[in-house]
Amino acid sequence: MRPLKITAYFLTPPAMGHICLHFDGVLAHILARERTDFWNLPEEVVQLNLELPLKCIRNENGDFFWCASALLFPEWYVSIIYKRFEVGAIDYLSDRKKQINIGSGKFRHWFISMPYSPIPEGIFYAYGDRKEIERLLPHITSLGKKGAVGYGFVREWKVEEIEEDFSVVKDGVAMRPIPIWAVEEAESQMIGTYKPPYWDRSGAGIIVPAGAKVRLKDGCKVA
Amino acid sequence: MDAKWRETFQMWSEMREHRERVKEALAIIDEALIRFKNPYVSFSGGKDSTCVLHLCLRRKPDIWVWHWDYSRLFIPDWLEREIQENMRRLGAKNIVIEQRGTKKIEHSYGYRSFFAKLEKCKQKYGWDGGFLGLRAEEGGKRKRWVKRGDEKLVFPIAKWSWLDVWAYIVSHHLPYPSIYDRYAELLGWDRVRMATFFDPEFDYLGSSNVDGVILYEFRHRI
Repeated sequence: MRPLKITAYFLTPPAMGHICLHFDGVLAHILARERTDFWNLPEEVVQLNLELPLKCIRNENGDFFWCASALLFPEWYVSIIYKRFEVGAIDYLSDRKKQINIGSGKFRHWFISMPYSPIPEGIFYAYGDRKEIERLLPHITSLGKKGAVGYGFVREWKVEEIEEDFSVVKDGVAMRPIPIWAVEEAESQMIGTYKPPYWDRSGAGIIVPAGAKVRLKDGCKVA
Repeated sequence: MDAKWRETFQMWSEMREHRERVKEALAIIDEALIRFKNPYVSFSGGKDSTCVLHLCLRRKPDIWVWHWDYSRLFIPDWLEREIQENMRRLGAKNIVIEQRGTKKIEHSYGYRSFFAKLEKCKQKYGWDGGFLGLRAEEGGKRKRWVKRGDEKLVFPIAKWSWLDVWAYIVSHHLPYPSIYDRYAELLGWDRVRMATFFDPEFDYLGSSNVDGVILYEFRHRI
């Protein structure tokens, strides 16, 4: 395993509902797909106990986090996604239908605010197995929310080996959410998840958020 | 608020159209104060209720002010403190604050407790009418409500646009919650609204996406 710099070149801006995008989450997603039926992820993905091709920092209680950074977006804009009459669902209408319900059901109209960040490229740092990461990444064609409507398309992935590791801390700043047990001193704390799947709140604990100043305990440093 | 927008709103406040709307709002309040002996103003802390409260206080400085605290489930503590501080800075004296229960997150529970507590206050303090900062421009439902009217409620700024509201705030140097500055940067001053945050009720509008980006620390508070 080596310190790596991974660059995602975006074709379209990624949309998000959260301030950062976790690289270990991205790898876990694609590994989970590989382990299961590729197109239909089971709900109990959380039970898969995935072994990511990344270095893992563990504590004495068996809790752990992966050495992979999160992408923090520098600026935000908001666009609105509209959905209007869906021609594709027209077969659901019978001859007797006189009025179409646009409040719910197949023909529901909606608009949602979607924050996006117009960045040309996103840089992740990781400490892991380059070959395995290079094998997995091409499966990821988009990052963030609403890839199906064109947000966050990844044109190209580039993986480089670097000398110094920045996967957890860079210049004294947390590069990812770090559980409090790994921290000696930190600028701020909050409650959050720190390992994939990040949406599973049962894995939440006190963390130091990405972007906060932090000093790790000696036993929890990457290299 | 940056200097450019401040100047824009200041200029709008000098327009005849805006001045007439302010005059009209004051006339509505004057007329309502003849009808109601003991009215109250609903104050959410947002921009619209800030204007209504200020307008009402100009006519009746000792008017009752009713504020509903959505609890720390939906409003950060620092923002709630700011709202209550603003209420006092605007000159409100007779303030009644009630809090939403924190047992359930469902909005039906919130509505029920809101109306139950408001009704209790009406009986306790003998309120016979109220002022509400509702604007027709905000949406279809509100437009219909304004058109239909309400015997016990008056909407002094029903015809105001978002420009009128900000022009009134800027020209009278009124305090407004700082959260507007954060949201306006992303949404623009025309679309910015202060509602409850991470509220499932507004998920269908994607509000939680925007909250997730701006109020990240509130979702993950300890």
